[in-house]
Amino acid sequence: MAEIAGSGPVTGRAPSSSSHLRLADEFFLVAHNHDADTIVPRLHDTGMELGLAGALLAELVLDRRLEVADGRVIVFDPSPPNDQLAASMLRDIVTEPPHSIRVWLEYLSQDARDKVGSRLHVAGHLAQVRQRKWWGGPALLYRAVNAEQALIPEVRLHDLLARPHPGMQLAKISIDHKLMQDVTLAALAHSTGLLSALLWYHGPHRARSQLDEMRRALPAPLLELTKQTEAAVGDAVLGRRR
Amino acid sequence: MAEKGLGTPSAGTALVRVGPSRVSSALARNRLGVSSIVFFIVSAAAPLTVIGSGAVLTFANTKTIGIPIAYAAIAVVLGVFAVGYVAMSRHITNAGAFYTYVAQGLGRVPGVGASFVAVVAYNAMQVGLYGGFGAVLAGHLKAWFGWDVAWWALALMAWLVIALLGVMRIDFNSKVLAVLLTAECLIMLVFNVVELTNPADGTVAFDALSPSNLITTGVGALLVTAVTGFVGFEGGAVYAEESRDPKRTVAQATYIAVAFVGVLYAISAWALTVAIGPGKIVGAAADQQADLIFNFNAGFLGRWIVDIGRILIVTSLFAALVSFHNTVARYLFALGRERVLPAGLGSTNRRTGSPYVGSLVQSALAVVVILVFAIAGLDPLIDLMYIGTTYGGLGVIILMALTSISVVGYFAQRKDIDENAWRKYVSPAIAAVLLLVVLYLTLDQYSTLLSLPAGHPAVWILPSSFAVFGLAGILWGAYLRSARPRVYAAIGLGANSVIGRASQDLPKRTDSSGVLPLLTSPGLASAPVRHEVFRVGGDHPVGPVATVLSEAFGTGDIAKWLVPDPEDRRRIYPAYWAMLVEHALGVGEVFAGGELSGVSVWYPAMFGPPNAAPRDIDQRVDLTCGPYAPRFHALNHAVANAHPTTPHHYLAFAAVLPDLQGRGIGTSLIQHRLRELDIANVPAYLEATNRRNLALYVHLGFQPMGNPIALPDNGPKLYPMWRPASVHRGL
Repeated sequence: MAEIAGSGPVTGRAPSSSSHLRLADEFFLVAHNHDADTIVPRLHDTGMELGLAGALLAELVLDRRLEVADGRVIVFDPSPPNDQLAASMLRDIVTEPPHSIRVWLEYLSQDARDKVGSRLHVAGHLAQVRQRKWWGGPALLYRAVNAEQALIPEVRLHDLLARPHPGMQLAKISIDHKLMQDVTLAALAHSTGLLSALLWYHGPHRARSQLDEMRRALPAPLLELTKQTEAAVGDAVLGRRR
Repeated sequence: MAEKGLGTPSAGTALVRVGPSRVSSALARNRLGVSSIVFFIVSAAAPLTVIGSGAVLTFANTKTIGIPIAYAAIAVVLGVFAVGYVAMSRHITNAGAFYTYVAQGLGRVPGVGASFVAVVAYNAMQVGLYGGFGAVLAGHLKAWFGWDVAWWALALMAWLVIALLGVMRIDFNSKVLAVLLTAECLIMLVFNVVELTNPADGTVAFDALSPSNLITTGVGALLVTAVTGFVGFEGGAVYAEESRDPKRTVAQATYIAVAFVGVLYAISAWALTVAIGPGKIVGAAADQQADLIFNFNAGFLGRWIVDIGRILIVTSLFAALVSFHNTVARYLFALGRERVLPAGLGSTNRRTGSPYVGSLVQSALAVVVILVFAIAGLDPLIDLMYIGTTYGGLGVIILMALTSISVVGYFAQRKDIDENAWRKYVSPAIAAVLLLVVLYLTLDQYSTLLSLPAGHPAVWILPSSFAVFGLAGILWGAYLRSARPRVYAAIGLGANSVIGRASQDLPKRTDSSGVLPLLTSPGLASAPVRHEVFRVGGDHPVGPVATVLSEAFGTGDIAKWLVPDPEDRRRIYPAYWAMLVEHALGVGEVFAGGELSGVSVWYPAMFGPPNAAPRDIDQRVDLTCGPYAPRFHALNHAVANAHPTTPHHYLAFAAVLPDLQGRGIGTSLIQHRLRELDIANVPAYLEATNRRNLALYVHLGFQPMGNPIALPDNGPKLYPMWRPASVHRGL
């Protein structure tokens, strides 16, 4: 399907600076509305959790540690990545018997929100707010330390999708690491149903067709990952329980 | 591609594995047990509604008393049906929907036809229940407060609430449902006791339970009503992937639920005939309709307990309305995801995650029907509830008959599935015959069901409408096959249509040297395999060793690239590998494991490149490989050129007979040598033949190095891997 990208390994240079936001961080920021004092989810719980789980796995693919093929997760390189959360996930994947990608998505979705939220908190992007709820005890919430900065991924995504890119060579997506991450983020937003929240201004129609083209240019493992996330969200709807 | 993916059987599902896996145990905590699934199934059946209004209306409308024995008979039929149904549900995705079974067993085109029939049938049941809800609640309001409220006003109120619940995806708290369901069953038991201890004319009459009722005229009407009471039992299969033990939990839960519901229905309906009297029940039912059961019991029990019963029948109707509404919404959602119906139906609400487009479509349809019935002034109980739900029941009988045939067809196509013949063929075949008989009787006596003269147009219009919908679906499916092959390929996969195969269906590994399962691989324990590794001496016959290599490397990308024609490959490969093994036995180190089902070939490369091939290899390849020789030359040269110069040992080949792969033979074979190399502090090198193997070698301490070796003519890639000295990782 993805002839353009081929099934070669993910190429390009991984960003090494620690201040840079990783994919799941960006998904977390994009999936919330940022007010002055708190953040409000824009996406239902299942979509949020599975989307974050997919983003966490995609991080490892982007780091060239994991491989996703035929519904399986395969360790490509066991050396720990820079990020602690990613490193502990990779350790889990290496030590576990082989599981299908859907199992990993389900497993990671259980606490993906807490983990990514606390990673953003530790990195100084989110601050904790204690709120007293009228029906119960205090609840721990987050708010963006700098709401404008928290909007940057969304703005970039908006720019990528809503603006026409006539001259953009789709082959660039499989080479340019930053672009690859952005397209993966957009594809995950599409898979979880978040996209309609991001394209409120420009008609989502052109954006969707543009995203379709870009998605197909993603390396095969990332494309498969986003599709599996979409199927997992759909199965959760049909599965009645979540 | 999807065709193949569908056909691949999976051994159970991938979700539950043996062994101490943290992931599995973390996920197992959320899995469902038998009792929760029984509870889901029974609550979807809404027992008090079925007896309190369904059975009573049957007495009134068919003017026969045989419904108790019909419930028992249908419970037996459904029990037989469930055997094959549950067995097949373990092997497919989107297992809650009948059309999936048809699509996989009889073909995708009939599958689309079945999906159209299902959407119509479930819609009819759901909308029919609105009539029951409005009429029953209106009756109670009149009895309690003397209010005169039109049934359609109450039905529209319920409709509004359900439309909102559907979009907002508020499911009832399962604890609330559990309390309501238990209360429902308890009050039915209390009523039964009262009815049986106060029989009419002082004698307990068994007339209604006599099997002779099953051969009177009008039995078709009884059977379809009985089926209607059970609809919802098929929902248990949805939980196959979420259950503790996919092999047994859902099956046990379905049998228990069918048996429980069948006994409860049969006894409750029979008790009612005993109390009123078999001769008088038809008249009383026609007279008092849904109030009959309460009016009778009010004479013996405290008023409050009967009032609780009245409340419970309303909540039970409401729960059934919600449940069928969600069923329809999910059907439309799955069909939208498959792009069989417009893709918009497959979208979820961003904030609530509900299949809201499907839900809105169902609500729109329901309101139109309610308004039409209200304006036409038709009777809500008889015309809307009874006719509507039995019309839906007729559709479900058609679907179940088709599903039984599909189960036989499915297993006949897939011989390799591990189920016994009773589940695969015998019981679905019996169920198909029984259901076809029920279907014939129903169609034959549809006029009794409607209590209309046989010549009335409705008697043939209603049943034949299913044929029209089914035919429309079949035509649409045929159009999809020719015009949109991608959509066609994914029919029946539900949400997984985006990946093009079932979620639990992982394609089998077809590695040419797929030799390295992990040590933790569950297959390791399943069969007694001898893991001792022996060094093969230089005087060992070449044949047996070469066979292992040529068998193991006979499939896969590289083999396809080298010799595209499988026939030629079978001719060329033995000779080619015999040549290499002959050389290896003389110069290299050959190890055998698993009683010569696995072979590894090592060459030392401590002082210069390994002597991995005979000196005259080019000439010998020309002789053995004929027209394919250039590819073999290219492979050998590419590998030789990429060879590292640092001193190391070279793992040239590792192979296990395809049948015995996945049992740890390869791992122990290679580990054996790696341990020796670790002691000697020597690095190792190999070329992985595909990226999947690469991951397996990573577990043995190898790391990918540099660029893959690209073979010419767009050939597959080889992945060079290096293992530094004394790396214990993964061992």
